[in-house]
Amino acid sequence: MLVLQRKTGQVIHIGDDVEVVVLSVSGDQVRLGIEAPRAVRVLRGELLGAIEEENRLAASPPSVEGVGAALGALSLRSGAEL
Amino acid sequence: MSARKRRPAASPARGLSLTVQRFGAAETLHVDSEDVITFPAGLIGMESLRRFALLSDPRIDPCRWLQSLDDPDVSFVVVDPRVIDPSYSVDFDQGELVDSSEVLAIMTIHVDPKRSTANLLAPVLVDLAARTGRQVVRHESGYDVRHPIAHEGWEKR
Repeated sequence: MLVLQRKTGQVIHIGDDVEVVVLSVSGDQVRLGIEAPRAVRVLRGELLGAIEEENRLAASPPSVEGVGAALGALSLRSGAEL
Repeated sequence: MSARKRRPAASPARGLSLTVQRFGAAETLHVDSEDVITFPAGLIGMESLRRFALLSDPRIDPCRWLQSLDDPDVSFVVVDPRVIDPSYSVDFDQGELVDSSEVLAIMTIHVDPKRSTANLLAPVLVDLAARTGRQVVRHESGYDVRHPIAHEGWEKR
């Protein structure tokens, strides 16, 4: 892993079009500003972890009872909109 | 996901057949070549699964199966997110959403329906014409990875 020491206001460039700037440091909190093209996914690590975990949970086959209850909730929901 | 993995048998030009588990019973599916949807980056956390099929099933209507063709044991229940939240709306980049695109939310089904959720934060975008798909993350949208599908009071009715 590349380790860089930066001061507030200093910048790191990643590739041609990603820029990371250290905005402020306060205790154990660092505020970063990130400039990147829309196509580059910038996400907090824990958010990506949560999506990975949810995909894993969602991939297992549902039970008849679970699907039945879920569909029931959906039909009531859409019915409530009519 | 069981330990036993059977690779789907490919039959050239005619698609592929695979055996999947549905509600505790084995079912054999046939997917035509032209119905294979390629996810070049897989799904988040499942980058190796590239080929899927979007399958209707009257037993789960209005939901559908997003069935992995690389691993028969991986299938998702997906639904138009507007079924969950009629006002569902997230921003898409120009060119990201085309006329032939469908937006789908992956559902996580629990035996306790109060715990069943839909992932409105990271919807799946499928281009039915190009037969490609990908999962996108709309973290600025304010939607949750676990959006409850049951609203308050539905049990009482």
